[in-house]
Amino acid sequence: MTGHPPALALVDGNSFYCSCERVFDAKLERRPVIVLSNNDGCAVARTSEAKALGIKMGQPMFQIRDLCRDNKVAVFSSNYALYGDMSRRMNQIYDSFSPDVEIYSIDESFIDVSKLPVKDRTAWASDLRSTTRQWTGIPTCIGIGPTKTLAKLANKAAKKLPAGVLDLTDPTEQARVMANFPIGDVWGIGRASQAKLLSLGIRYAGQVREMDPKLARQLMTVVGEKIVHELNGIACIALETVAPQRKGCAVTRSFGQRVTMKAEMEQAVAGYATRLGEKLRRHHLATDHVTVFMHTSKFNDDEPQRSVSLTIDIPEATNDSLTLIKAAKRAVDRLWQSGFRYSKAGIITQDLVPPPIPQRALFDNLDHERAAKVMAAMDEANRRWGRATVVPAATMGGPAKGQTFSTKFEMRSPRFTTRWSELPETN
Amino acid sequence: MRISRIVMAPGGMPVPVSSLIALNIPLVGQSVHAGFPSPADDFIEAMIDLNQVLIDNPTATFMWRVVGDCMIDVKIFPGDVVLVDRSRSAKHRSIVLAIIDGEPTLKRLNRRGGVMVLHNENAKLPTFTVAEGTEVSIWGVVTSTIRDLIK
Repeated sequence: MTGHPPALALVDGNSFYCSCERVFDAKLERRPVIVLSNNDGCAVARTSEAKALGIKMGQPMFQIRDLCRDNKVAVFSSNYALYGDMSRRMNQIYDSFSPDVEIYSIDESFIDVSKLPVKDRTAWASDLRSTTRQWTGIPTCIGIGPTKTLAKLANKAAKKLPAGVLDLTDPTEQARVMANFPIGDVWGIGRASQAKLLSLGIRYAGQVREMDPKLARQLMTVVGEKIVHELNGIACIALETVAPQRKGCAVTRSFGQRVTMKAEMEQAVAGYATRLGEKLRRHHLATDHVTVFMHTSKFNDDEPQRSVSLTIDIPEATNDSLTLIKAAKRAVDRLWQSGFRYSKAGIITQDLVPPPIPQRALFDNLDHERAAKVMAAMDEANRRWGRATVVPAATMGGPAKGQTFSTKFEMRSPRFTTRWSELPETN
Repeated sequence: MRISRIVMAPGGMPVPVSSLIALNIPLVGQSVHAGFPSPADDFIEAMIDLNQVLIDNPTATFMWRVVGDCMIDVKIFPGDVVLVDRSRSAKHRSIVLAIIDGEPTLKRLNRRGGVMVLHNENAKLPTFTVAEGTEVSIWGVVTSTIRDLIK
């Protein structure tokens, strides 16, 4: 038996973290809401109202503080206990709708709908969507496609539809939507790849679909080739083989003491790059750029103020700490200016991708492998004996064991669903 | 118990594992004591799980802490915890968690000639009315209350 033509649904929570906050505080429905990353560094979730104000994904909080105050934006620290519990509930609902659910990230799940008759799919998806909304309060969108990449693309396009559901299993419909679907929104096309494609005049997903897979491979490694196949409805990414793709990752800290020396700043940022590498490797992800920022304290407004950031592109996506450190140090080198007392710095990336399988020359391959082994040994040592037991030399003197950088959650909402002492209150 | 696995001692001579380590094997499901088995063995059951008793749909059930006194006539007091099921549809006589102008509040839902009306359950409070243009929605249906009688 050959079975049914493949069809996958991608369901995800709209502005998921913000929506979780709104479930327990209805007054937030009328306000723009954003949720910040660990340490309150930058915006990692935004409602459509917040996006309309121009707040960007991953934008550092210090850049938008005034904007948020002036527009009464509700700003929250990450409340992972709450988001995790709401995610669990949503996936329980998905499980009751299908036996084939793959949790892909905290707010995204792939559901195999191949066995569902084509004519029933949209109704099924609408039912799933309204049940999730009713039972958990979380609004979702659902995209359906023959491959993961097309399901993701359909999901993205569904966000603009009032129905919140889009079935893209039909090739004619695929072509219509992809004709003006920007490449930057295609799953797996990061900033570096985007630039390369744009230089060839390729702006829309439809054009990527028409590309020669070999050319795509030359431009974007094997990932590019897979994207072309996936956009043509040929599945290259199996349900369980893809690591959860995180929308972004950031390591930021406020300094215990103001930093005035370039060497200190280099050490600190190299430390963040190391942590970023650890995080990415733990989740089997990689990035093709890092954004480094540094700024002085607003609380010392009698002192000269400075706030800068710079993004460094990395030619090939990586999670190797040593490469990330190199990129981060280059950013510090460009950004550094003496005469200021810096209070905070950080490193941010977005659009995380699975790490590329090395496709370069033999020597480069060996290098990749060696780097991977060094990183694995470092991670293992740190897991076993505590963080920052083994660190790259560039970070010596940076954030070390026992130092007083601790995560700040200044604006976190109560853990409404997981703590007896923090239940929501009603009259 | 016979141990067949062999390990190498520092001198290179094989030594049976049993002489190096004390084995600690947990016993599951049966007694090693001599004598009669407990007559209760055949009747052992899991503990009563209050989650199972009280919560019909755990996926859609949330807990809220009561802070107001608008429901004291039906014995829902400040400090109580109510279980609220979002998957139940509110019916005539349901006690609901309503959102009125963004504020959560417990109310009795009554049908009056085809129209659903919200009430307080506290004779000392003035009749509850909703002003024109007020946004009202039902967050969920209250299914149980939990009250700590010691504290």
